[in-house]
Amino acid sequence: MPDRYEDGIRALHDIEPPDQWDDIRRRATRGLIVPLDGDRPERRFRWPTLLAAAAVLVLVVGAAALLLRDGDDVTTNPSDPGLTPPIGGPDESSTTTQPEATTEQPSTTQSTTTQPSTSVVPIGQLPACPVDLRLTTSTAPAGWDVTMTPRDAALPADPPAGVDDRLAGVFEGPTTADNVFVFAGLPGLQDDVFEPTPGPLPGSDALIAPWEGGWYLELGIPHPAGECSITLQAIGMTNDEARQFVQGLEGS
Amino acid sequence: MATDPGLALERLRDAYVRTHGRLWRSVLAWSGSRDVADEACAEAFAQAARRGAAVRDVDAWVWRAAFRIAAGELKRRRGPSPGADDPDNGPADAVDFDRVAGTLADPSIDPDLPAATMDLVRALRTLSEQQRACVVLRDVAGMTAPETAKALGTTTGTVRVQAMRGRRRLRELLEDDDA
Repeated sequence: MPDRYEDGIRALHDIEPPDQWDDIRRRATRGLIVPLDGDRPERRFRWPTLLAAAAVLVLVVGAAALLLRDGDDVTTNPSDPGLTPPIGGPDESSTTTQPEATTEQPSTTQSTTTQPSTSVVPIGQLPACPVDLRLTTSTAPAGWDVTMTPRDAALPADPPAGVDDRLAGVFEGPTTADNVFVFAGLPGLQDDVFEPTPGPLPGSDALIAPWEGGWYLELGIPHPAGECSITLQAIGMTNDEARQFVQGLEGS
Repeated sequence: MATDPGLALERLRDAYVRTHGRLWRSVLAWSGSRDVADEACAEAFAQAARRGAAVRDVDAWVWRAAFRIAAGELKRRRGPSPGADDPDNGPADAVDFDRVAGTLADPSIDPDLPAATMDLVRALRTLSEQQRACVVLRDVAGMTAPETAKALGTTTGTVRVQAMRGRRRLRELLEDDDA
């Protein structure tokens, strides 16, 4: 079957660009100049406007954050043990482990309810909770640990700056380059690049998307205190292995 | 800012040999117009020559400038519209494709382009700005993911995801069109 996309790319590459060197030389020596990269004089007059706009934006975002936090306080059930307070957004201090996809369309609709769910609930609306995870042996890819190494044991005594606070632990693979990093509290993503795949939580699929060197997964897991959402960054697995991996996860 | 045109041209010649063909085709894919590609590329190199040593990374500067000039040229041809009207806005170290979104509503595509290229350009115009940029820079310009990320001021992961999504969408559009 012909690939019309590749055909289009090939046809484009077959087009011969004009030789513009003489034109460039003429333009350069004639001194024709188009202001670029901020060398237009009137640019300086825009700064007050830009600063004012930035200030307004900060105020609006701050107010929205406060309103959202107020909403959290109302709906959280403090009597439910074992659940961490919901995390409303990405940790600005994290620099190295935040998946790139979160820069595009992160969801800010993480629910704060702490009631266990028995119905189909979008993963992004499950309360995040750091837990110990294990993998049933029947679903473990060859060479992978079936128990999660907790954060404290996985990190050196003096961890490098930039390690995400929400890193809960690591499943170690056959080599030091193969790891599944487990995060609790990253915002649920809503992006059509994610594909549903069966997860461990009945009635709620996991989501999988390609990520640098592996797979980015969001899933709900059963937990004694109520289902919670976990984010995985799986490096060193095939797509099938990653899908198989999430099906066997359990929390305790 | 160095203003010795002779010296600047010598320095620019290597960059021209390295990048002009890829740049021209990328602007062509982006704009759908040979005229816009001609103008944007020639003017971008000329501007770099005028700036001389003030342009430290000639290749990167020319890429940014060419797309900004192309955006301005498309806007000029289409008439006034919000957005995309000022090539001086936006971060100085990235091609701000989002800002030129409005320019691509221009329905005119160079009628002399090969049919397969015209179809591709039409399909490209349906993508989001970032997807289009990622696809053009990766598959037309032949940039690596890190190079594309640098040009767009984003991360390599975003580039990979957006390029994959863009290609998938383009294939869907072109197959549908074929049916």
